[in-house]
Amino acid sequence: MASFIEPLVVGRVIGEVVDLFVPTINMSVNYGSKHVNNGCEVKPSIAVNPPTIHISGKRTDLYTLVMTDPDAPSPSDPRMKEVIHWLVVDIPGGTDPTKGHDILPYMGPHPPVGIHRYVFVLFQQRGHFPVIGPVHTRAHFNTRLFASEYDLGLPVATVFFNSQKEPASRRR
Amino acid sequence: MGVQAMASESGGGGRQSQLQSLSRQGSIYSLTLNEVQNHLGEPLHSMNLDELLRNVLPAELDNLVAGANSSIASGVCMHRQGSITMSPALSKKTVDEVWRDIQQGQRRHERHKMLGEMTLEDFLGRAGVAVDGSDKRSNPNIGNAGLYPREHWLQQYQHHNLQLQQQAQQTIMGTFVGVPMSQPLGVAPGPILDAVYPEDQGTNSPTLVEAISDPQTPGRKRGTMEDVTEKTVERRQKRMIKNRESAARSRARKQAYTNELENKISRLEEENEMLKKQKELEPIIHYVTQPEPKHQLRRTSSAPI
Repeated sequence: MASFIEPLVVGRVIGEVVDLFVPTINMSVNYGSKHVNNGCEVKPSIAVNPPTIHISGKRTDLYTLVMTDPDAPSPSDPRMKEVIHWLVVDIPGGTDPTKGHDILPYMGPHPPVGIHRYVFVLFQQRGHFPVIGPVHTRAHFNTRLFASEYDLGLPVATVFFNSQKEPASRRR
Repeated sequence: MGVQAMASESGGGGRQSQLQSLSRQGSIYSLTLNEVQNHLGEPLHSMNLDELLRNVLPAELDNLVAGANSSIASGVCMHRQGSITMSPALSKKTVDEVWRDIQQGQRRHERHKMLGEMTLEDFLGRAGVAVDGSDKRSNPNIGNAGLYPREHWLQQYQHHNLQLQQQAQQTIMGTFVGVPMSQPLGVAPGPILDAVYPEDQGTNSPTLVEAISDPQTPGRKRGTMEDVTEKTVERRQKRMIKNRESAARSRARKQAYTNELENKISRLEEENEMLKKQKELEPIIHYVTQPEPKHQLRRTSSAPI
């Protein structure tokens, strides 16, 4: 199981976004045909729409998915860290986020400067997610704080990819 | 009395006569380099020959032509006037470099294990011989004196700037190079200095500039030049730190991905092994289930035609 989190440690996801945890659920993230491996590069153009995500787990358990960018606006100057890109709750185990409740709609990566990490964090809920008001701003999100606020505990799965601004295409 | 240390004739005999005349001049030449070093109280290694001779020759003042004294005192010129002359290229070299040259030339012949054990005259003699072969490839080291080995390579970077700074030599003996040079040099050593002494020197360098430049240029106001230097140094330092962090992130990124792929590979290989083993067991399972379907598929004629 250690091999699942090693890249997260090396890529400093564990440390900057979440704490050290033991993954207990399998989560596979795919943008079309591109399977997301930790630390792989995904172009913003193929990540415009939400990825297909499949999670394992018991049908009776509910999960929360957070997608966050800890390198906003620039990795060397993450003033806005983190920026939350997607928030889905009440996802039944063994299914996907479409079966959950979309509190904050998916927003694709659009890194202005530098190479950003985009992290998917999955938490197991203790019960149904409490009703919360609309999220006012995506910036200055804190995954750890969010997890402790809603008693989510440590993550059960985490995956991240890198993305950077694509060179502007010349149109004639 | 002018002895040519740079001998064009490399024959042993020719050198011998040279050395004999050298030793006649005084006792100092027959000292080993270790003894010379002790005598001077300063490490010889990164001294260039200029400096070495300047330190050595004062002991020989009695034997020298009058003109030599002034040249030692000024410490500006590259050439030695007086008892020893050598090429500008040679005088710029440090003791270390010359030693290396000597060693390379020496390999076939005798071996001097330690630089220190060689006598001064021997060293100079061999230096003179060595210079012919190595002159072309040597990297002329600008005459900076009495510096510690650490700064030796710094000199090569700063070489075009330091040519302006000869007069500063004597005052900076034994201190850090680069920053103490008077203001025009301020811009260049910044990044180099920063590269060598990252955090600690940050605050020290501006003060060093002030401290040393005062005796140098008493008439100049403390003001714009030093401020500019400070700011530039600061800016460069920040840039460097940022750069370092960026490089570290880049490395982490690369490593994380490599890590992930390696782990994935080993997991997949394990799975593969398992699946292969399962495959071996499959035929047995099929054999058991086969007879039934055959039975079900048997054709029978049902309609009479």
